[in-house]
Amino acid sequence: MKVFLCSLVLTLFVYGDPGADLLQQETQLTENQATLYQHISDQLRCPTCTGISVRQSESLFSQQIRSAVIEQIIAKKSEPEIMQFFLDRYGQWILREPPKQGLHWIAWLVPLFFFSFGALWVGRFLFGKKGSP
Amino acid sequence: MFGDFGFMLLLLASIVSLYSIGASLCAVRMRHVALLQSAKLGSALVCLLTLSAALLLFFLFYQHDFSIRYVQRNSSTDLPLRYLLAAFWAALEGSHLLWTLLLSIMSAVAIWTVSYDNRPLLPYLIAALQSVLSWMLLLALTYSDPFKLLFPAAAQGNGLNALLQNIYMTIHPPSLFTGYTSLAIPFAYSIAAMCYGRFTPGWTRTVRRWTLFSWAFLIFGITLGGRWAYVELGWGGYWAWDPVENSSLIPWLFATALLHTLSVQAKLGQLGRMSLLLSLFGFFFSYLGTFITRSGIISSVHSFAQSPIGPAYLSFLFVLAFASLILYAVRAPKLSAPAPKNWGISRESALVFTQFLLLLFAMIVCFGTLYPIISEALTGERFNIQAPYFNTFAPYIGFGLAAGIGFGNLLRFQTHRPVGGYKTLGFTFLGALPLSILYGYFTGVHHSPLSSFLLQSMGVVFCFWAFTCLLWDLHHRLHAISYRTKTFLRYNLTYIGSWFAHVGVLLGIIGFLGNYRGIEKTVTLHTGEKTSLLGYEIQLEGVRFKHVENLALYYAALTISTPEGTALAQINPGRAKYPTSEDWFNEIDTWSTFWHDVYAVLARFDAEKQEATLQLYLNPTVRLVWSSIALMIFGALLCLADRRYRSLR
Repeated sequence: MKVFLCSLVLTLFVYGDPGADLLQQETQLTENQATLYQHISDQLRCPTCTGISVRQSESLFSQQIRSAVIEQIIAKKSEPEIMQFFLDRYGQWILREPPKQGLHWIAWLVPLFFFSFGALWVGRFLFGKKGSP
Repeated sequence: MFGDFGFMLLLLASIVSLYSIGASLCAVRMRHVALLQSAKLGSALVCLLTLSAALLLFFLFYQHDFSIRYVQRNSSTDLPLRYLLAAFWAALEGSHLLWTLLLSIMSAVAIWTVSYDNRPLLPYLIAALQSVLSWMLLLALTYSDPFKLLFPAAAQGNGLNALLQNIYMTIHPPSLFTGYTSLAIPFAYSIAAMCYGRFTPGWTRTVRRWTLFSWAFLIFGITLGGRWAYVELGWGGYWAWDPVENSSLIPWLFATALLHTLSVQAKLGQLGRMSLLLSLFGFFFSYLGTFITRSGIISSVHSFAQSPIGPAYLSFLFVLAFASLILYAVRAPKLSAPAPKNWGISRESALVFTQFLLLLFAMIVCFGTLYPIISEALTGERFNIQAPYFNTFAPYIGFGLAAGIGFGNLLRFQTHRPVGGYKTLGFTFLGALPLSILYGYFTGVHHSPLSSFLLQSMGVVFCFWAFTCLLWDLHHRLHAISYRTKTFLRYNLTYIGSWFAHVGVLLGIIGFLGNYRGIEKTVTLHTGEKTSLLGYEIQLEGVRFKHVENLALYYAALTISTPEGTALAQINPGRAKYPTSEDWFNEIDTWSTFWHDVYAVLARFDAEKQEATLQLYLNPTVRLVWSSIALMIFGALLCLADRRYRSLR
């Protein structure tokens, strides 16, 4: 637990110097590039924090990832290419929501199943002929 | 010595609690009134003993008795009194004791205030509540003993986790736990009704009152947690769909659904079995939430309460769920068999629809929260789902709820058309349109990108439409009694309470939609330099230092002003150092207007160069969210004050 606590404290709350370089890189982006940068860094998880994206985190690891995102954007890579770059490097784990592929489809289909099954059941219950409770 | 004394108190409490279970069950079997009375006295004694143990632990904190391991690990002599209180529930043992204490209080109150028409349920009620309580007490003696001694005693404590040194953390756990533990009462009433074999006349009234009480405390506790995250964690938001946040939301959703079922049950005698199930599951989920926080099975910002106690919680939860559901399967069909009914389009159907949406949402949140375990079983790789997944579904549930609130409140029980006919739908919509456009214009919804604009517009229109429906409904009811408002207020407190709570929900949805148009920027300023943020000029006056209670604080003095130079506010985001930690911690500062918050984090500073790197956020409609919660709680209090729902003595 101690290790966990230390890592939590270190990663979430002790902001390292949010690199002057990164700040400078961020200011160099055009408006469109900045939107893309925010959009992509919202989809990548902060590897050392809990529950937040690299965009919301100032941990050193997140800064490195953001810096890499900016480099890719400046190199004129498209969003899918940049996402693929991070997927190759870190695996699907880096994403904040399950990818719509393979077994992870379950994460998206189960809520739909809940919805359709529930709606059908409620519909029959309320508007079925007998309407028995 | 005090440690042993505390342990003895808990040991005695668990013995008395076990006695109460036995005595109450024997009392039913033997029809022995004195035995039942002794079980009832037992529940009061358990409460007194647990309360004494808790007071003793607090006294040990107050005395800085570092011969007690829990006190030494979670406090230090520099802590102000209010944080000594927070230190009580800062880790597993103390928060477990708090949970147990609150459950013992709720149980004693529920048992001693059983109304005349619920009296046949009393023995089962005692047995059900004391079963949960005795297990918690036994855990407090084994896995989670707060009175364990430290030898040799330390001269100084480790101090309280700096993140918890916040006033919201002093109130958040007791409030949330009050909500969790009071859900045990509807649970116990359901068990009791099933054991007894029928619903007593006062069942719905009492269960409804307790559920409402729990509902208000849960939402209050959840909001305090959100406030804490907002001002302490420094990422600019108040809700991150963290597993522990989710696990507190699920029981609240169940409690909300239960309130709606009870409303149908009270009026028409339908949905009794649904009420039983929701009462059972509401408590299971509040217990599951406690398990998720303690077990560390899913990583969360609440990891400070982790311990090996997890399996003990989980096994009890399984036993509890298994036993209750078997009981349900065997007894519930005999319990309530109302006449078949055509539901059609009616108020009761709208209430069922609302329950469907609430339970659907609860299931999605539960599935997403447990997905790391599910994905590990399926793919071998643990995948933690974060906010974007939940945010995909949440808006549609919100719109559905708004539609349910709007249309549902226009309907009446057993009638199949809205008050004033279907044309009401048209003119309430026409009334909502200008309100939505005005709101959208003044809050800058039209500046959002297209997809976000469409989503926000849809939400705002839905909410304002539901609001005009609520207004029309209110007008209709007042009109029916020729606007005799005093009489109306006197006899319709429950209606007025739910009216406010529903307006609160709508306001909340509008507030959440503000998250789609937040602005943020990171900027480095030197003293005297300015930056602008959506029409505000923010100037750094200097990087300064001060001591506040036990912390050393470096802060950036910032002035917020209009472009014309009129100063509006001074905020001081800082970075603090606590005596018991080597690390620096953020001290966020915000300036709020009704429409948005300016939220500032000092990311980096150089006191010599008088330079500060700031993260500035403009968070729209945060105050609407806090106001919406206040409205909901106000509504719940009004409902609780309604005489019709008080006990018959």
